[in-house]
Amino acid sequence: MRVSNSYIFFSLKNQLSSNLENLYNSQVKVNSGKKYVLPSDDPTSAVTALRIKHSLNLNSYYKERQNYTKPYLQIADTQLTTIINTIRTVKVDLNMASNSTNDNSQLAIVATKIDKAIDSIVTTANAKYNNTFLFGGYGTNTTPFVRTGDQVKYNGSGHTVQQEINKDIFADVMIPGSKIFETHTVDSTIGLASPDAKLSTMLNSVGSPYSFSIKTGSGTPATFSVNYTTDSLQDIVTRINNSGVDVKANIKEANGMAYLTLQSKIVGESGALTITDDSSGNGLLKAISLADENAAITGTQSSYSNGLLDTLIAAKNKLQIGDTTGLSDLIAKIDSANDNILNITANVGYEIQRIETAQSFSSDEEFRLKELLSDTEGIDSIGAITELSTLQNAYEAALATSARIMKLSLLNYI
Amino acid sequence: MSLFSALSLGTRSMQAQQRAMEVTGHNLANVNTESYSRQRVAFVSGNPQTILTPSGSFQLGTGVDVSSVDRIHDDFLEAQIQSEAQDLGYYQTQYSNYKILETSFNEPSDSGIANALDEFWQSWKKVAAPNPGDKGAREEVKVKAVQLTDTLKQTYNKLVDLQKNIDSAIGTKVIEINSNLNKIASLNNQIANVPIDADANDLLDKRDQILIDLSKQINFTATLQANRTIDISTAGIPLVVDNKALLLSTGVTSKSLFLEIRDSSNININSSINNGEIAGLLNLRDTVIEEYKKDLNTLSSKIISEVNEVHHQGYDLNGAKGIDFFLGDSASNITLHPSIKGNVTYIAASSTKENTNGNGEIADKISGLQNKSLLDNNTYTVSEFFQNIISKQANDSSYSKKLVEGQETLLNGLKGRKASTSGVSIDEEMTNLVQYEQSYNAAAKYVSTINQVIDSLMQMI
Repeated sequence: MRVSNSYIFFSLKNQLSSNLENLYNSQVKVNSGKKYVLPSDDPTSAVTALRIKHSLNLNSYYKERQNYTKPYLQIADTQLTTIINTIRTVKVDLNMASNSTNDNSQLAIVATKIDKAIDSIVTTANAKYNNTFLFGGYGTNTTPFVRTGDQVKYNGSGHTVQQEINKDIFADVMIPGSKIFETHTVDSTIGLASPDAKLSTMLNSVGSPYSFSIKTGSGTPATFSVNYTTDSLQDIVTRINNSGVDVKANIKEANGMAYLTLQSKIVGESGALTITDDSSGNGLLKAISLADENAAITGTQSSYSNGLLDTLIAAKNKLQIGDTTGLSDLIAKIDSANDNILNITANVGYEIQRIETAQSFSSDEEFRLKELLSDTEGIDSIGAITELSTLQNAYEAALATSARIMKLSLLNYI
Repeated sequence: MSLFSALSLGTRSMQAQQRAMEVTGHNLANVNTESYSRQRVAFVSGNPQTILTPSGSFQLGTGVDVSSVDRIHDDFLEAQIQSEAQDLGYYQTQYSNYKILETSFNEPSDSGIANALDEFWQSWKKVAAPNPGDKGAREEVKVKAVQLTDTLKQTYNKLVDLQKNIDSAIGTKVIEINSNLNKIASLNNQIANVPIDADANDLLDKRDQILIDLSKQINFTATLQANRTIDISTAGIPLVVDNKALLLSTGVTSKSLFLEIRDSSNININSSINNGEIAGLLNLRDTVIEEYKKDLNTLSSKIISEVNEVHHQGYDLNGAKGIDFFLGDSASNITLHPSIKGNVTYIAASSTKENTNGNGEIADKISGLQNKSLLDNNTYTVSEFFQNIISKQANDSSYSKKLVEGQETLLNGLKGRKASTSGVSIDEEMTNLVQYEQSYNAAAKYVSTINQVIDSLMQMI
């Protein structure tokens, strides 16, 4: 092969340039500590790093949520334990009142103690954390329990507040007061396609005009008229909630359908609901399977057993007038209510445990993901520095040989 | 042959060696001239004279002549270099712009779209529970939504800027192409004026160099004519005919914001340009970047429509139905609804009109959109779709880098072969110089000897 001067210099330049480029790339890797500067330097690593970063972001979010949520449950746990302790003290007093011979003044003292205990339980159940009522369900900024004389009203909702503590894992963060002290609730079992659509577009068999009535306990029934062509389910809910009747109406959405839920605001047995459909069997409540024309509730009722607060009020009233008959029945009811609260407290403890498990899992996950990210985008330092030295040697060798070759010429000998 | 003829023979011999030394000097002077092809003097012996003598006849040589100065050149190699230079121009343009494209997306990083998406979805979860009415959590949704819309718009605008820069580069490239077409036409003219039996070595070299420059810029076919001129055409569209350059121009139509390339008849020839830098620029501007813009728009419009759809189902803190959360329909115009930006109580996080402070079911639903396969026929989640964009871009860029490296190696190999064939070797030229010098000295000695012979003859008189 013929070797011209331009060929020699052209080849040398290309070789030196290629060596220098390799050296530079290796140096950038060592300096940045990463396998790539741009994703194209190592597409697989870059895209894998992107995915790992996404998982890390999610994980750090869940960690933050776990830490944020845990105190809500811890405080709820403390409050519920306080209520259980109060019940225990009340029970001792009641047992004493029922078992021994007490005069009316002594019974009145017990009645006063129970009265104070009711206030204490209501205050404890109205606990707040981070400006949020812990036992109000979705009613986080409305005082959940309000005692007026011998009646305690629940102003919260029946929803359990949940928080996602890891992907698709939800913890019950706030238990509604209606579950703790129990209120009458009834759910319709037939849903409507939309809460906002006019009733006439979804129901064919209902008549018009039409009205239904609702009452709580022995109160006066409130009557609501329904116009099928102009009213939606949401309009009915708003009408009930604005009527002043002690019932909280809600729309519960499930499986793409809207269900009507009615919840008595009056805690305990005295808040029992009576719902009457006045349409001779073809009204709205019948259509959504909530009630029939005979004031019979046909919807699904909450598993109502005993209300703690109204039982305590009943006991207090008896003792105030020195009546000890039937006290043992009331004590049995308090025991049953106490069991319910103990169950809820155990569940709260269980949720705290779940969060702690999730915290531990997330910390392990974070460590694992960070290690994976470091493996994916970080260089192997020893390998990279060895490579740099090798390339440096190659470059120096190329420079040395180039310098020697460039000096050679016939001119030196003529 | 007379003594004076012998003297003339010596003189012509000296002249021939002198020409050869001049050519050597020319070669040495152009040792570093790119595209210069070394030249060689072709010696031929002079036409012999027939001498008639009584005993017979014989032919006597008349010395040496220079018949031509040849260019050492491989036309096939030159054609290969031109062809491969077109590919290199195309790939290099692609690669350098892909790098800018990658920088525009700025991934993986903490300030790119991927991170903004994660933070946006997560901010909704904070509103979802345990306190959806909390202004702080709602403010975070607002901030993260603005951050997301800004990042999407910025990235989209960077792509538009890149298209504009490429458009401007296309305009400049057309000017460069026209300049080269003019040079070729001018050189064609000069070459045609050189007598056909004379060598136009240096002019041919210059034209070859311009043809290589032009190859990097645009695809063309060169046709050599009988008078040694070269006609240039692209996909049948004449660009140089004999000594006339038919220049390209650029213009904008009402349909497009971008320049189109027109031939001398003012007809759009974009579709005929399929190689070289300008084809690379056209492909990037009209296809590659458009696809990335389309992907960003698909991503943005899906986010807008899905978030809005769920948001409409909810109720804000005032118990009113949810309004549009995002306005716009693409990455270029996505914005947070100004009412929400001004007052975060308009965020409709509740699924019911009641208890809007504590009900965060809609916020949870919106956050849940991140896990739904919404794109590419419900195959990918929003994050996965974006990861695919980055993956495609990284692989395209990496592939174009490999093409450039491969093409550079190929072209360098060909250029090396050309340098090997046509390049000047100083050693070789110095050897030739010594050889010609000695021949010249010998010829001079011969003239001097003949002169002495003539002197001796003259003294006899």
